[in-house]
Amino acid sequence: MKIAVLSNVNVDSISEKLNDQFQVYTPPGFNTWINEISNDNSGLNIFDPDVVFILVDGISLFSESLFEDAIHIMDDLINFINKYAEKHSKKKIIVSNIDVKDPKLVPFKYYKDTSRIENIWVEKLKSLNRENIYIFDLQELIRDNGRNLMYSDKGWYFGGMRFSMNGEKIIVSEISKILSAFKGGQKKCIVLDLDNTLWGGIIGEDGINGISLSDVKEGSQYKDFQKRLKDLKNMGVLLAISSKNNFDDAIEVIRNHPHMVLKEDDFVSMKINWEPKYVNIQKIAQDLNIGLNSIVFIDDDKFERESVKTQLPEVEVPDFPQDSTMLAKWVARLQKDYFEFIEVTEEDLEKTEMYKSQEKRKTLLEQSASFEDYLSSLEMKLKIWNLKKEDVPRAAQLTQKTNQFNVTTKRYTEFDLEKMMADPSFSLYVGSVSDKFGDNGKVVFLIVKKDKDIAYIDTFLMSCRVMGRHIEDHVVDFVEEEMKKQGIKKIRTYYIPTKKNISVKNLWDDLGYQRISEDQNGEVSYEIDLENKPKRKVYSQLVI
Amino acid sequence: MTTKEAIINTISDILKRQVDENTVKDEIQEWDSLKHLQIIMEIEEQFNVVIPIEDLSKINSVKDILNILRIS
Repeated sequence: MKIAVLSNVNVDSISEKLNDQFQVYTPPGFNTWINEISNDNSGLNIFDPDVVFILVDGISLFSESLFEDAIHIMDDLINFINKYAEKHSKKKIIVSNIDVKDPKLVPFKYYKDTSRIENIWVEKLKSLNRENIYIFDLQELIRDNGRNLMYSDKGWYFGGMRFSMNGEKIIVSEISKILSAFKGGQKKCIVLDLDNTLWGGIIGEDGINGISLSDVKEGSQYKDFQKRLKDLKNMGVLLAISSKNNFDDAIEVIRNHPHMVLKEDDFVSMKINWEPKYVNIQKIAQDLNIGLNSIVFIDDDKFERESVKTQLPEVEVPDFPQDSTMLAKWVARLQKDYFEFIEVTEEDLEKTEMYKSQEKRKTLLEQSASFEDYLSSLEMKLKIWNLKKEDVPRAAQLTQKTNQFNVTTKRYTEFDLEKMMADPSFSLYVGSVSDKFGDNGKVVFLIVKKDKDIAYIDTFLMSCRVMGRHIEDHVVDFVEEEMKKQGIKKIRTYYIPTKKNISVKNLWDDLGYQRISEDQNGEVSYEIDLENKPKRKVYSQLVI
Repeated sequence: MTTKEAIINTISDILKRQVDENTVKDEIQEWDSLKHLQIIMEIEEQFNVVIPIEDLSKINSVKDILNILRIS
């Protein structure tokens, strides 16, 4: 990933620290950032970064200005940033908020309020309403750590460096976390212990009235801890339990304790038994169909942690805070280390529900007389529509993340899809699937390009959640009918093999498409004559 | 690790090369003015000391830094 770091103060030292992990460009000299972003031939534009950080030092920018002057300066800067963001819409531009300190000495009564100007900066940035502009909370870093630690007078007077070495380390750490978040690789699931983790004390010994979980004092440490874990769950992180307890003792707390923030519904899996925890974690990974390396294990007991670390080295096992007063804040650390998401879609929010419905489907399958019986009794409903603006983030996400049921594996950004939407020769379709156990959400996406009386399917993908149910037959039927209505006579499409999409190697053959050609890379092109397409058996109902 | 060793390690980390107590600034290509400032700032922050800005130009070697911190 190529990144650029721009600032109105000297950030050579920050760029240098980032250079270990990324390709970094920082303009020579300082306060040249306006030139760099406005000039097409600047070093910045030649470097062509993917991500541009603009670290704004509020102190040197605004402190000596009168309020009105500050607003003018701001408007100019925002204007430059806006133009750059518009011109380079595929780049991510991360602009910091500002910390402004007024160095003037004043008598007590004259209260220096710099928050107004700090807030206006953020409002102006937000009002640009640009998808590729993100705000970096520099102010929070400074507040959490303190100006004395973050800034350096010596650095400033001697070298135009606003931040201390400690401050730079903290900023570099934040920037790295954000860049990692853009790359992906976040974890998916937290497996939690119960005793002395979600509540104080041991339920088996102390009883439901003896454990520490309340609104006040010691008990509220654990309640706050649960609240922050719930925040993660609400972002799409799956929560599971692995606890050595009698099931009845523990479930009583989870179901009935008045201060339990996390309820039974919040957990995708509860392994409350006397088995070794590593066995439970393996089962959880299997049940959820996720890798062990997507799991973070949290337990107050060092012995349990060491045991899981040894048996399952792929699982992340962070150290548990020694002081329970640190629990709630620790979850922020966990977010930074494992769950730094840039954005959360509707689908992400409902992940827990979806995994639970999947469990129910598995049970139904086990109870069905045949696979066809199972499919029919699912009562599946398929809805397909032309891509709308609000579908774009999910559709782009699908093109980037779907590997198995993906015939051509073309990756698109939101910007790419918006361009296609504006082009009448393209038809983009989104589909959602629901059944009697729940809604799988938007899980189908197709890109079709029309050229006279032939249509080309550039992309056909489905989330692996709905694979193996003949939904694809129904989707392709629908698209063929749509194309027929538009006067298309033939459809052409492709299979481009990857390491992960072997399962759809013969998809088009099975759907009745003819092979036209195959090259030495294994890429196959297909064609179907819409006058002669086969009749396919479907198990879903098409709804409007 | 003694304080002396810690300081030498800190300087080595910043210069990205191993130095010892006899290393002189002029001998090391990497030890430019930016690195010089970084070294001073890092020492101040890590060891909780103040090195007056007037002394920066008088510091030209690892030994100078140890002396200013009164470490023999």
